[in-house]
Amino acid sequence: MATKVENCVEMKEIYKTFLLNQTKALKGANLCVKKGAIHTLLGENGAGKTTLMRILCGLEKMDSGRIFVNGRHVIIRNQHDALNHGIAMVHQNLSLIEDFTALENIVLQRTPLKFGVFVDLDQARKKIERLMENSGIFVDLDRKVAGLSVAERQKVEILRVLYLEAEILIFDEPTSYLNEIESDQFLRTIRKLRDSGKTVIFITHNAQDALSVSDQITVLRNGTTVYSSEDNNPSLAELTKMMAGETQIFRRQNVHESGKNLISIENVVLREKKRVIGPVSFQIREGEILGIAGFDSSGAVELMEILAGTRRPSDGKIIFLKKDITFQSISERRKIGIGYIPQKKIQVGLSTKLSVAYNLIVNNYKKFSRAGWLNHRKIEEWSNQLAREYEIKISSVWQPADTLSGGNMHRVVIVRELKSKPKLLIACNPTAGLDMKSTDFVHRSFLELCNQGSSILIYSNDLDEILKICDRILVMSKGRLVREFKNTYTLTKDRLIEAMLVHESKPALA
Amino acid sequence: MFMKVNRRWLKVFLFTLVVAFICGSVIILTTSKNPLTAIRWFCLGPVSNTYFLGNMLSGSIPLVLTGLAAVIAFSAGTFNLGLEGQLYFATFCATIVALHLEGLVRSFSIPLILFVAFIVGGLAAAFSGVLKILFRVDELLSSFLIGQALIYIADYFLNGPFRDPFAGLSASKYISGSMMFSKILPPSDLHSGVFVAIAISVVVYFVLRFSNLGYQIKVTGSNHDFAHYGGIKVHWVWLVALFLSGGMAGLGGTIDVLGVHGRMMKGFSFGYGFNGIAVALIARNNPISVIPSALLFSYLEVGAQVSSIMADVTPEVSKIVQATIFYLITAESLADFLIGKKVAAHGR
Ligand SMILES: Nc1ncnc2c1ncn2[C@@H]1O[C@H](COP(=O)(O)OP(=O)(O)OP(=O)(O)O)[C@@H](O)[C@H]1O
Ligand SMILES: [Mg+2]
Repeated sequence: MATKVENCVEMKEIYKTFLLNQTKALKGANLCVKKGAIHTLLGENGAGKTTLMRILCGLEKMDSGRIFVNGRHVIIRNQHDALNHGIAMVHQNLSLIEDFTALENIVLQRTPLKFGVFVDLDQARKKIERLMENSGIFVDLDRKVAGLSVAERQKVEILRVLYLEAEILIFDEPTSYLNEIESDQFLRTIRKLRDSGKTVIFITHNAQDALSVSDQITVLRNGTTVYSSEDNNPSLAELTKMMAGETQIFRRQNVHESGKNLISIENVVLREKKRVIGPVSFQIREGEILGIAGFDSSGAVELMEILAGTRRPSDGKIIFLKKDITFQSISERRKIGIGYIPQKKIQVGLSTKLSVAYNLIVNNYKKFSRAGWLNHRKIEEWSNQLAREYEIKISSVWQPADTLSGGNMHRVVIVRELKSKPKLLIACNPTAGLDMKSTDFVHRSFLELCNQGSSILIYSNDLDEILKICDRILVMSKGRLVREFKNTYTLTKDRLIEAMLVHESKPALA
Repeated sequence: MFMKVNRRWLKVFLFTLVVAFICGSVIILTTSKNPLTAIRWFCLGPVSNTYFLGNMLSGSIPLVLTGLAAVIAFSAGTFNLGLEGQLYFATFCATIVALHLEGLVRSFSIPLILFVAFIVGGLAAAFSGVLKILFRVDELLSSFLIGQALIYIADYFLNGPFRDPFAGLSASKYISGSMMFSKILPPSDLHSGVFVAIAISVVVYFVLRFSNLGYQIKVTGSNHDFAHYGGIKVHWVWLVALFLSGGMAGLGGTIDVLGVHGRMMKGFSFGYGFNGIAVALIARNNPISVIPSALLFSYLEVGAQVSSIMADVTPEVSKIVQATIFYLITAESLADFLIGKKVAAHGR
């Protein structure tokens, strides 16, 4: 009736201080979301995006500020209240229960009951199947979540919030763990959701993504809103500047060809129940950055795990500096200079309940010990120095790791592995979840490490990243190496994608 | 920061304490003909004279040690439900050794007896660790089952070959007085073993907090995937933690025998193991907080005994109260909620 489109969520002058470490995460943040729009919340690591949304979902209490939903002032005390207002969130670190099936995970928060006591999964299944048809998001409801890829897990999460009948859907950095194709698909999905009348709040630090899908953009910097778009269209450069300020893009592509052989992988095979990965053979030279491109289903992650030592190959040999390390454990491999940034940074790369300092020293705590006792003063000094040097935002190195922002947690993992000066660094999606400035920083650190003679093996969903820093690129598809490229200026993303699809005769994504 | 955490713990502890006594009083109110005297004895009995006080303190000693045993196992992310059996069997073995040690100097024999108890208890627990590592047997089940079996084995010997024929119940012969801890507050049971218990708590605290081993245990306990990834030998840590845990349990029973009973009696330690787990839960895995938690349990026990002597209450009151506390702390979030802390949020 009115010409003005209604704002379905308004957050005004939100302040939030974390008592634990006296961090002022939000200092007067504002947010104004139109009904039926895709609203992007843009900001660097630690800007307060997650915190703002957790407040909206009732997961965090604000110090002061007001929230309006559909024009009415509301008080949101807990997740339940938020859900009553139709607000639900897909978290930054997907939080599904591994041992449950997709279906069980979806209904977990609101279990349908028969006679008030028995769980009625059939009724839920019908409802979810209807949802899948309407939204075009399909997953195998009976598979255990443990066996799903991240993209599939995300779909489960989306179905979960749809099942809760949320009208306002919040996605916390959903694209940071997806590859190009999956990201595109995801963006299409949220457009579809918007067209069906839902409101979407989309958190990211990727200005490009923000521009391509959103109807509205809010930029958060250091806990305050520095920009919110009405109708004017900001340019990419403007947005980037508003988020952070300076960033530089660089390319290197001087191919190392002279280095000695550092590691040889010979006919490595991994046989699992349903599939076989390999045989795979390749070498990495000293000082080289080798990239592996492939979908999550290509087996590249498993290959990285085999090299790092968290997984045993069924067959084949790994020779590192002329020594057979096929049967060495990860701790032995760490000793001879293999570092590892795992795919699951939060679940495996960190212990979130332990302090940041304890997380930083796990691979070298013996350096701080004398006669079996740890010198905590030295640990503190060293961790403080690292935090300063790598700009990890913390107020004390003894605060638990789960009080850091998502990006800062990732930094802890990366910094720890870089600092051990490995001869070979194995990195899975090293910059997923990092903003442009930190990504740039990680890439620089990688190059510096290589200049000191170390080698790096990178698997990344982000093909731009691979093209940016690798000397040589191997492409994996359905468990096999299909192409090898020298990274010259003529190599393009399209050629990589084409190779990635070689064995994917039928689209693997159901 | 650590101070803050401790203050928070103190709040929860006081809360538990108040609930315990309210709950005990309510039970007495409903069962006793003369509730006021009964409640007074229940609440204040243990501190009304040195005899009860001494008994209360000495009763807490085995609980401190089983509490520590549970703390160590929990910290490494393992569950040792076999404390009861490990304690019983280790004490039995230690008693047998003590009976063969006539004529040794005291400063040598007591440590030797304790050492035997530690090793036997430790091995019994570590065996569950071996099963866990080699055959992926859940240590929670195996430690419990093996523990129960050990109790029957010890009972068999106690009833048979090692029974003191002159005793009216199945018990071993008396250990020579020269190998016993000396009494501190006669005529109460309090004995110098209390200092051993305190010293061990302090050592465990420092080891868990500041040593390499403590670091490895904490990392493994908080996320074993991360520990493995970081190069820590997770299996080894599990074994060591279970060994230490069983060892502590063994010490707990043996100190009790050397201080109070003077011989091994059938069923003397009933409940020490499981109460130890409750003590560790109340202490939130902090070896120092184990001491007040154990005192609380012992206080309830003695309070119930006193009020059953002085008034018409059954001593089982303490069991009911302990069970209530157990439920309360298991539903930990309830306590958090009631003292005005927000419920832990899921996801992030
Ligand atoms: N539970 C907590 N306790 C203490 N400090 C916290 C807690 N959660 C977040 N913070 C702090 O608040 C600030 C904002 O964090 P927030 O998670 O909102 O950042 P973000 O914008 O989501 O960043 P990212 O892109 O890295 O995920 C950070 O400095 C972080 O350390
Ligand atoms: Mg975040």
